[in-house]
Amino acid sequence: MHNFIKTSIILLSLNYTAVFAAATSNNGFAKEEPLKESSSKYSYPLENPYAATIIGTPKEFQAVLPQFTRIPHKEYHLKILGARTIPDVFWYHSRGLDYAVTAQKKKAPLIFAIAGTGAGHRSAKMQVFQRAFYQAGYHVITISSPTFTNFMVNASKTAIPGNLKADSADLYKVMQLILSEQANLEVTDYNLIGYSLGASQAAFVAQLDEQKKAIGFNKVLMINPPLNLFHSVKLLDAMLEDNIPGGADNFNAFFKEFMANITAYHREHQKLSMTGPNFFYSAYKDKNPTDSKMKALIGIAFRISSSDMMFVSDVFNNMGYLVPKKTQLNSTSSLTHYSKASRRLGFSDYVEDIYLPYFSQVTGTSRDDLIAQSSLLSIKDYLRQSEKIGLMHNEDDPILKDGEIDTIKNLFPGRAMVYPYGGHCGNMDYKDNVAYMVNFFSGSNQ
Amino acid sequence: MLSLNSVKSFSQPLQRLLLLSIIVIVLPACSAIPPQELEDAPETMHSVDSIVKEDVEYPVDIYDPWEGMNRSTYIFNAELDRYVMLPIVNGYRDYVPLFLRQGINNFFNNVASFNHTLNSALQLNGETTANNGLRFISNTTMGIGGIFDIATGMGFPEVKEDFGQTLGYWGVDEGPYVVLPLFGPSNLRDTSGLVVDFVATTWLTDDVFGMNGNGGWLVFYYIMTGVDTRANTSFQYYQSGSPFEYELIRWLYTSGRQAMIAR
Repeated sequence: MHNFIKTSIILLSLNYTAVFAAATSNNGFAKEEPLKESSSKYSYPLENPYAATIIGTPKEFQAVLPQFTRIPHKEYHLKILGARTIPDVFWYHSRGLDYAVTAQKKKAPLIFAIAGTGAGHRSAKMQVFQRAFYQAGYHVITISSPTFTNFMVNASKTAIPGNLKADSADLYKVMQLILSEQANLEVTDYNLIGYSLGASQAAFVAQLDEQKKAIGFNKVLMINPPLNLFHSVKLLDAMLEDNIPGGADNFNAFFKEFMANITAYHREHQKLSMTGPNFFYSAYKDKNPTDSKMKALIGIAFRISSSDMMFVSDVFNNMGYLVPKKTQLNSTSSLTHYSKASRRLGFSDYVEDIYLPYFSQVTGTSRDDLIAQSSLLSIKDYLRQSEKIGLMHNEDDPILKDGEIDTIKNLFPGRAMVYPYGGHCGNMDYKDNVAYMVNFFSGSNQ
Repeated sequence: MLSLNSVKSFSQPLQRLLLLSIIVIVLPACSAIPPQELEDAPETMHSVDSIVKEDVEYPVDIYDPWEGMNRSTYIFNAELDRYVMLPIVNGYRDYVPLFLRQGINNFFNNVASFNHTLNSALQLNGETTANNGLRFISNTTMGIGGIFDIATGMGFPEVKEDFGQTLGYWGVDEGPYVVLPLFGPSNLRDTSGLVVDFVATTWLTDDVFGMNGNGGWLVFYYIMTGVDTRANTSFQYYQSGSPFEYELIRWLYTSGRQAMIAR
């Protein structure tokens, strides 16, 4: 348990910060639903969307919430698909699907939270939900993204994530099983929240629930969803490919330069802890890195998540995509050469090579229809008429193409809170955003 | 087998270190299994060989000649963490009040400040030596043996410098990557550094804090160091969700250490 693991985790956590990862805005849109404090200006400090995505909310601007270590947090491992054999290389996940419950001591409303792409139920953003909603008097249950290894091997029917309907059906089943396992929780009503891809899935889960009526959600909040998953994936893939000088072959040189810059900055500020909460914010303010460099970092973080997902899907389904069929990988096999190769394949490769062929074969749906199904527009009527569903988003979210934010807004008439900046989920724990989030469920935003 | 009396006889730091290493090295029972090679590897849609190029540098390529053993140790550590460390740490959090845990954490950080000072001096860094030295002195005296951290507020924050960094400063190569039982990622240079730091800390605790020869205190001291360190480390095994977590940690540890040394 070396201290330097902490440094590593900061870097590793870019993984969660950056990827697939709302609104006292003073723009015209906010007037439909003025906030009580709408007179005060939105003062989230990072007006650059890439910086916001990477850095998140600097400590002094964060909502005041109880520390994670000071709220009840109990981990559970749910056995779902009992007969399923989990390949030895994923040995650590054989206990079942990990989820956590933060329970109130008395009868309370419950909120399910779904993580974003490649993020687990304990990711930093999920902890914001736990801390904020526990403080507001809710039971909170956190569930990993269907793109996360532990979910894929334990709870995904296909282990080929990306299909909003199929993934949401898996999530819905998981939620029901959790509720029966947690039967002693005293619940007044059920709610749902998700960020990034988890937000899109929340909408599909809510729609499924209208048909099956197994849970009955009271309110649902979507934070920074992509309009079309595959459009956003293309943008994120391009962030890596277009912004590393000389292309992906030069990643090592790019990374070394990045580390050298961090080191040089630290040399100038010996007393600023490299692992402290505001190191990157302070370095950003002083050094003003170019958008291109920051896009590359976001692209790298996304690539790490998506190539992990692709590898798990390949091995789990014995697809022979990158790993030859029937290769016996066990818990101590070296995966270094697979890691090198998989980092060179993007999410778009996964979509083209694995996702689309599989789902068009199984469902008989055309390629174009499958792509259309990965959009919120595929459930536009449901979203437009569902008063229970709200949106919190950012005008400058870099995972959206030009104009997509307006299309999204129109899906939530009178129920969209779109902040002027915050990038992709960067402002989630900014004080105004947390207040909006909590008030959305308690009903005091009206 | 490990009674307080037998620990008592290990009053010399090096002997005690030997005992600690035996405990730590004998524990992992897993053996390294080499990756299985397939003779007629069937076609894949993308072959590793066609993607990975000879002339490209990959940051994930880190000198790791003992990879099999290291991976076994990594798994051992994950299991140890799951079944021993985390349950203890959870109990510690549940039953020990926050102010006490904070005091314990401050105390161990202060002991570490002593080493940070020595190592800053060995790296001829006047500014950090002064910072860490003043930090250690003010916390030891006004902070009542380090239980309170008043130095951070006085403008002397913790700047970590260990002997591995000192060796790196003087140009010692990191050597092969090593996963140490219990301690986690390291390399040959940093492991030697750990040993030297351990000896220096022992001198401080024995000769200055007067725990010399007191076996009961020592056992308690080491257990508490471990519990405190774990309780203040947010890392969780396999929570990155990456099937390549071993590679990721190896890369991030190595580049993180390079940055700490170069700063």
